[in-house]
Amino acid sequence: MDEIASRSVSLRPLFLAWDQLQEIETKQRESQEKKNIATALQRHMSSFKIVEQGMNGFKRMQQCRKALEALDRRGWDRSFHQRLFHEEYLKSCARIFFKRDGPGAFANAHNRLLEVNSWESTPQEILVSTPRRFGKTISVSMFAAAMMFACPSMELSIYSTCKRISQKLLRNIVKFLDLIYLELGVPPFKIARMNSEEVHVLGNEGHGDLRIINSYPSKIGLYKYYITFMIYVVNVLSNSIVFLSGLSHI
Amino acid sequence: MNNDNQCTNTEKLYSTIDEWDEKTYHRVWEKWLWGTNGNALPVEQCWDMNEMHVYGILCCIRESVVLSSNAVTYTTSEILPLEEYPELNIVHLHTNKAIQDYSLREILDQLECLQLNWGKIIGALLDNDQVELASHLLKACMSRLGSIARHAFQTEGRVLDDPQHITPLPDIQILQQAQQHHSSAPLLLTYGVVSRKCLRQSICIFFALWRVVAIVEKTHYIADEPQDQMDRVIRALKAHHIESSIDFFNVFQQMIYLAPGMRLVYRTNFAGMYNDVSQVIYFHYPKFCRQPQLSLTEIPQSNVHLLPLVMQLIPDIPVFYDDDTFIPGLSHKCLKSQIPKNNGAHAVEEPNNNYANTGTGQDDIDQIDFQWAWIVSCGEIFLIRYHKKIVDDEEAVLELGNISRQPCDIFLSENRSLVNLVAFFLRYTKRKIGDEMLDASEVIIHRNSLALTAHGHVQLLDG
Repeated sequence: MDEIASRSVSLRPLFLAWDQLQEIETKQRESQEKKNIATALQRHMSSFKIVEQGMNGFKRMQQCRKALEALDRRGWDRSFHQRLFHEEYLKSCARIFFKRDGPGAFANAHNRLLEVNSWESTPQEILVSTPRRFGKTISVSMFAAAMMFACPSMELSIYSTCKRISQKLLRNIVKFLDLIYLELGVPPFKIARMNSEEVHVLGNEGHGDLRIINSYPSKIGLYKYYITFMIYVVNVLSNSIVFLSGLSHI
Repeated sequence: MNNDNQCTNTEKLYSTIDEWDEKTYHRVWEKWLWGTNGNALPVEQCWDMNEMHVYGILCCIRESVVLSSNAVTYTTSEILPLEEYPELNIVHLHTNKAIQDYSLREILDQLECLQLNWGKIIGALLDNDQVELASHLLKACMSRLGSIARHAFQTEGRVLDDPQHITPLPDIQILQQAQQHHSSAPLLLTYGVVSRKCLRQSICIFFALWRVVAIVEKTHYIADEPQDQMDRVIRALKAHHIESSIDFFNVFQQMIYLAPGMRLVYRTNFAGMYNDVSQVIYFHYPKFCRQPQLSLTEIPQSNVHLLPLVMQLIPDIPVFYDDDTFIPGLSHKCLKSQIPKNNGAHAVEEPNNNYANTGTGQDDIDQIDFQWAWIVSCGEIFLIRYHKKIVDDEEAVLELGNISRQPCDIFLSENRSLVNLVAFFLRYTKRKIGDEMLDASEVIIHRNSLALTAHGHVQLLDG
């Protein structure tokens, strides 16, 4: 009975529309993939870019030390302990300097790195604990500025006890960076973005060399402390550095 | 044309639907059930449907072709005899009417009835080892829907008896007459077809119900574990696990409350608006009330209450639901790339492997090569063990075209106890849980398994 009152209808337009849509999507995907894929020549040349500029991890570490020494000469002579801190920070951040040297560069350079610097190991964390007025905040600012000057494509985050300190720290970093340019006689890096919490500069090691420093306020409390301590922890993750700065409480 | 192209060219498949061989149908079926993303947004240009709906319609039409060629009709009571399954009398809405003669409203009612009682039906059939009857029932319903979908019926007739699911068609003969006589009289819309929304919803429900059947058919049933193994699991449960798992429990109880396909239907009907399962729950059950978690002593008796705690004990085993885009071991690998990054808070799509061999102290290759996951389907919790690597099974590739996925085994406890399933898992993987992991040698093994560098440690400066 149904068939008398019914007619066949074709669902062909649905399947046709679906197939056409798939075809369009496939073409779009393929053209997008073509755009994203670098040619063999581009890949080959990009791997030589850094070598052309003559930079490698060792040289960048040397640059960082030079920048810190430049600050010494510009009226910010570091104390004995500040120098110790910087050496330890440098040890913790060592692998960051090799980041753009290609896969396995740090592993290959590790033994030589220990030998050249007379280090026994390169731990990724460092905890510094000293009484107050040892110049820890200043030393962190100096080191951050030196890192920004020497290390390509790095991101460094600093967490301070309050917004006032975090802003002050960031201002210090910018100031020290200017002193480094001045002392070493190099053209300043272009600032891409700057506000009360972060500074982005475009480095001199080619495309993609964006160097970022974040300085954030945080809320940290340590209890049962009867002497004021300042603690820094430098934790080098795969491609970023984190400072927990100025954790102090009585 | 190779196998892959044959399976993706839907227009060609549709035009040759009467001539499909078993292999082609198997390929399309496999693609529909495990190779399409049911959660994809419907496409406006394709009648507001997505790939899953398109392939689902193909399967329905094919079923109608097969059934009409066999000229066999069934009533629901012939498929599920009342004498054998008296407890399933609720699913026989039209006892004396063949499914092939159902009107649109009747088939939709029957489908909804199956959806709401699917757990009960599958459970009863499993007890008698007759799960294939569920397939017969579903195929009969699919066939009827396919038959309705490929025909236009008189809107005044008895087939299209649900006005909200009818799309009227202009009558061609009247249109031609009107053109010949230059008549300006209004057109009479005497014929109609089933609406797109209705097709979409029905296909979603079929999709979900078939997935349940497919999971159940692949399941191995495990016998009771020794009592001491079960006691290990119960001993490991602590009060703090209840507190830390309460968020997951609240989501999980809502997922369990839903019938198969409800979430899928909601996601396609309100495309792009789905954020949380609570939307679906309150859409279908406006009076739904969250149940509180049981006390620690009562929890082992209830699988739903126990799983959140088990996830605290074994956090590296993720949970998947039967309507998820990608289920490891079952879905095709091509779907893996379509998983959204934040796909639900509790379905960890990429399990962390750090714990893969924690505490076993053995180098058994079998253990290392496999991963595990929970699959929640139709209110039941299954354990799936799947190969880490996606293996291209040569036979499957030859037979089904470009399909590759992780080989898997699905386990369910014979007595449906999750404690038993967890005990089986622990015994099989030789893993330790809870306090068992706290002895010194375990700590060392655990530490070694963590990705620490050779030189990584905290150094204190002196001076």
